[in-house]
Amino acid sequence: MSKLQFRVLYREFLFRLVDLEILTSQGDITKLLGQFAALLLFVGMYIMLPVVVGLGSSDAVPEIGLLGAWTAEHFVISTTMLVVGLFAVMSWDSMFPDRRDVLVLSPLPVRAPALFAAKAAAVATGLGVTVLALNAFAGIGGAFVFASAPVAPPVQFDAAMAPVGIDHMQAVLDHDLIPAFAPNGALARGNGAGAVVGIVQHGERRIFAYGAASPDSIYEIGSLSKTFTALILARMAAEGRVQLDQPVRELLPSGVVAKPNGPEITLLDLATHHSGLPRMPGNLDFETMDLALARYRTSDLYTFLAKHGVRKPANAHFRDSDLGFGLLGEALAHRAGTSYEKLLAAEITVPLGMNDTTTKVPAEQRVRLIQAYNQRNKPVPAWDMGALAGAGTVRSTAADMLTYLEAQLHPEKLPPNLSTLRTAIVSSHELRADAGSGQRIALAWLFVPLLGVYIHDGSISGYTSYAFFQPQADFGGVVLFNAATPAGFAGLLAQHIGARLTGLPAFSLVNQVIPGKGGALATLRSFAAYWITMAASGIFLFGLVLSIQGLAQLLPRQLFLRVSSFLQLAFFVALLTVYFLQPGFSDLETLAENQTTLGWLPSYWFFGLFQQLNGPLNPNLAFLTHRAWIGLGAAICGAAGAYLLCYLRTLRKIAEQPDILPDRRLFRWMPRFGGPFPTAIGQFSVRSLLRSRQHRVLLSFYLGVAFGLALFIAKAPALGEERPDDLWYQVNASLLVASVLMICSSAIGVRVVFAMPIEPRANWMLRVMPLPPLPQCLPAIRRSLYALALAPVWVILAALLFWIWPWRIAAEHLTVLALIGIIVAELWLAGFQKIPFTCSYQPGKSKFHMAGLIFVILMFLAIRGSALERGALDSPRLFAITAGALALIAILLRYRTNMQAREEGAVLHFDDPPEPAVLSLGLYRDGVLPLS
Amino acid sequence: MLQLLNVSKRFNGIPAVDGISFCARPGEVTGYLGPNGSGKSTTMKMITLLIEKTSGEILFDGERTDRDPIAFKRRMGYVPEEPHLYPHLTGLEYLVMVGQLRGLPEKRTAERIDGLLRSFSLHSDRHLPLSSYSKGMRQKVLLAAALLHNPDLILLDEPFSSLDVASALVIRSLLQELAARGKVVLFSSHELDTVERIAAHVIILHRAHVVADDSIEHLRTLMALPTLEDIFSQLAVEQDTAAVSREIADLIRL
Repeated sequence: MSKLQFRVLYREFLFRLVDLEILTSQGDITKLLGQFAALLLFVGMYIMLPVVVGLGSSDAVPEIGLLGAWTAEHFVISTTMLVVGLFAVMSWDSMFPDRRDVLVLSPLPVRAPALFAAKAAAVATGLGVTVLALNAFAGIGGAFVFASAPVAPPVQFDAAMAPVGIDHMQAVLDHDLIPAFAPNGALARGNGAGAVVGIVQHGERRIFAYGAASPDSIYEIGSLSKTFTALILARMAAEGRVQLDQPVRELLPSGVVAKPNGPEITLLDLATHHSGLPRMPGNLDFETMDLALARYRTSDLYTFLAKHGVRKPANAHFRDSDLGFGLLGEALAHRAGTSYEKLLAAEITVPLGMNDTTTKVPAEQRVRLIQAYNQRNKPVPAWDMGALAGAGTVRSTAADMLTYLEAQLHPEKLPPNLSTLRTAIVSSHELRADAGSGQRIALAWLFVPLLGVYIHDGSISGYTSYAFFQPQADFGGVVLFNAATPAGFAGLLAQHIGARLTGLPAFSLVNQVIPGKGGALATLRSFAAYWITMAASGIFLFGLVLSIQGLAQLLPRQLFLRVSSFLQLAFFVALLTVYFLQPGFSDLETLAENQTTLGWLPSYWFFGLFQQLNGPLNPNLAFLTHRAWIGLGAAICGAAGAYLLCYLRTLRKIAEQPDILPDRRLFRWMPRFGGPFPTAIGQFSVRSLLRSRQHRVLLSFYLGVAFGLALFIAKAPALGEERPDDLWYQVNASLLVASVLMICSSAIGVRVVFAMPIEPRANWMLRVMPLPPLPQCLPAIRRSLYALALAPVWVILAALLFWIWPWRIAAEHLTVLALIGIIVAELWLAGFQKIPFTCSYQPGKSKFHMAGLIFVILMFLAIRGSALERGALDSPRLFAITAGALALIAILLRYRTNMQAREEGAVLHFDDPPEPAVLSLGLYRDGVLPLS
Repeated sequence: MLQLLNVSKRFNGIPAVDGISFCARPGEVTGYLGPNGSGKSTTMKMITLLIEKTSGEILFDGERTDRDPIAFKRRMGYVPEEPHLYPHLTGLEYLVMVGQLRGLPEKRTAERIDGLLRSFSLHSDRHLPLSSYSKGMRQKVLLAAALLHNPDLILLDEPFSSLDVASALVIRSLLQELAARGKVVLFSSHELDTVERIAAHVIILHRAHVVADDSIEHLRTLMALPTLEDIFSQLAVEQDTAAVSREIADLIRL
């Protein structure tokens, strides 16, 4: 008896797990399951599998192969969690016995445990099918790919030794660097890798060259140049030519940038990375960074600055900015009436006798400029920084850098005629602000309080460098390297040297990443790890939803019903936001630096779990694994507790109380939409959308995905770690695309929900009303669509854009947005001869499963269109043409919609026409187009 | 006056109503009776233009109702058999929407809605969503919506089915009052007692045909039967009710 009951209930609950109306055509159960599985298989095969095979395949360079594999692993985990989360949102109301279950089943002799067991089994089946279908292809391909992917074993330390004096350093380094020459070691990359190490201790200096380098090889030192720019500032300040707290605007030609209201960016802000400026200016072509930088002129910099302004954000925190130091270099050069190159020579390199240090390598020295190699061991040219020279255009040798470091260690030894330089060096060591990660910042130099050491690194083109000095222990060093490695070999070697000089444990210079071995056993292990991880991540997310609902059930039943609806939306938005905003892997160092952020992201927890199961586990990921197990345990307990709570407490209350909370709202104002008829339709639409959960969820899907994509496109400012092209405070294509995407998605989403009836059986009321003919109804329908779809998004975007952009640009873009919104709305209004939310329809007409395709097309059009618009915004004539063309299209589309409404036989529909009994196969003769 | 002339409705060739003709006159309440499936609701839906008739003519004050449907709908109020309403709207919002859709002047309509809600004892619940209304409350909302524009023709499809005794008494008097003020009132019902009390004129439908169309008084005299129930049983009930009862009781013992 109970087995039969279980089977019947299980089948019933399983088929009611997701909203039939949304997903399937004609509400057919078989079709529903088929479509659902097909959708997941499609996602799995066309999105996840290529990522797994493409990114996860082993690369010639292990570090890149590792990052590719990690990116692919994290992608499949986070995508699985996203899909499971979306499934949980869709089945939100089906996870626990609901009012219908209780009212129907209570009078029957069905035992509550059977009811709960069937419900839990249905939920588990839904979850299992989701995970299985989604990963059917990627799960098999992934096992092979991930088994042979490179791995990052735990970092090792070399045998400890007493502090090494400079005389013995070469022998120690020769020994310690042996692993770096091993296959795939940093110095064994291709044939050209070469490092030069310079060390100074108590006035004695040594230079060692390894690999392809010579002791006098010239390197680009990248961001180490910033310490030179900062020292120029300090010297000019010491000579009274500028003040540290002077606004940078005052150093620029008059008229370049307006004086802002409120605090201004000062020279000190620029030298301590506290200006709030982005990493790079937005008017730089990032596709061809090397060439674009070389061509970046002072006029370009000023153009950017004029648009961006020099207002200092209220809470400007430490933010590494090449733009800031480039601007500082330009400003100082302009004040000095010379170029940055000449200023550098006059203020630092000539006085200190650094003959090989310059921004442009003379022809006779060019033979010593060592070739740089990128992360794939391909030779790459040296970069010029154009107007941003102050941020990283200096070339130097180890010998010159040691001279520079000696001056840092002993400014008092400088000759009397360089007294201002001496003062400047002392001033440049003064700690000015926090720089995150327990570090402080002086003028460009970072200070590590724990070690008492000043540090700075550099990276440009394929060159990497690292310099440090410890004034108390009187030593300093520099490592110059001509290959870009994700693991940061220059920094690793420099820290190793520092540790040897002080006797601290030193990182082993053995390669941090080793190629994967593959093999049958490893593949089997990878297969098991993959599926366990996917199942665990799915269980975690589903358990989380159940736990949230369980906690909410502690509220009074009526309140729970209302809160549950908002929780569903909040969870949905959070899911999409986290998916699109979570940081990716750029290199191994970033992983360690991002620990706090990653610790809050469950997809990374399960990424850590996969690493543990697939082995070996990188220690940087151990904390993630720990959290995955805790999270999984908590979610399972939470879900079990939620069911128990429902069983013990809630079940009876469901039957006792109505599902609808009595209305206690005080705010009942509704906007008018014109005359009585448009107002009736408009207010009905607003109320329907606000009060129907099903419609809200569907609209949220469109808006949520668009919002997620929009944030993804323009995400940097939200996270505080910008990509170079993500700058809110300037007119940029990303924000244009994001805003266009939002307004289009809103129009499409609202139009889709308009087509779904709220209570078709109540439509009789409209049919017996003396409604005006269709042409007179159309304005009311149109107003509802505009008011619900376009107006709210447009107003929010207007507030944002007027806040961050100059008013003219914002107004122009808002005009374009309004016209695009009208065009999309009119496109979707074609043939929509219905009162919103009233026309009964064949279920599944929302074509929910086609939404992905719609977004791809929308993205493509928005990106192309925004590139055009970006150009038009700078030219009033071009803008007038663009806006005129859009207005013309909008007018034509409106005209077409109006004409359709006037066609003979056009009436308001309250029922979708049923599927024809005889379906046309659409077979035509070759070359003949169907004309009707 | 509402006139149906030889009106038929066929669904897939099967007649739901077959050539019926009758009149409902102003000043009197017309009862429309018939067993389940006899075609009462179909007739009501044809009159309201919710469904199209297959043949025949429906006239109101001598005009074909389908010639100018909008003008006809302005003069008609309708209470359907099932109280289907938009569940997410409150009672007040629903009535306001009906007023707006009918293009009624807002201020006067607001006063009228307020009065109707008070009269139907719904005023304190006017801000509750209709989904939380009982069936009787929903029926009262429907009645209020049907009367909001002071219609000349009032069609009620089983209006008493879910009302409590007090409300039923009010509605009963109301229909008589409206008829007395010159309205055409046509209502269908299974409650023969009620019909007998308020209707001067009844139409009895059986198997898609009109089998009686006369005043109750005249029918009693004509058929020599004391009550409307007896008349109805003779004209429209074919089953031996006692035999059917015995059959059911025997069946569930199996």
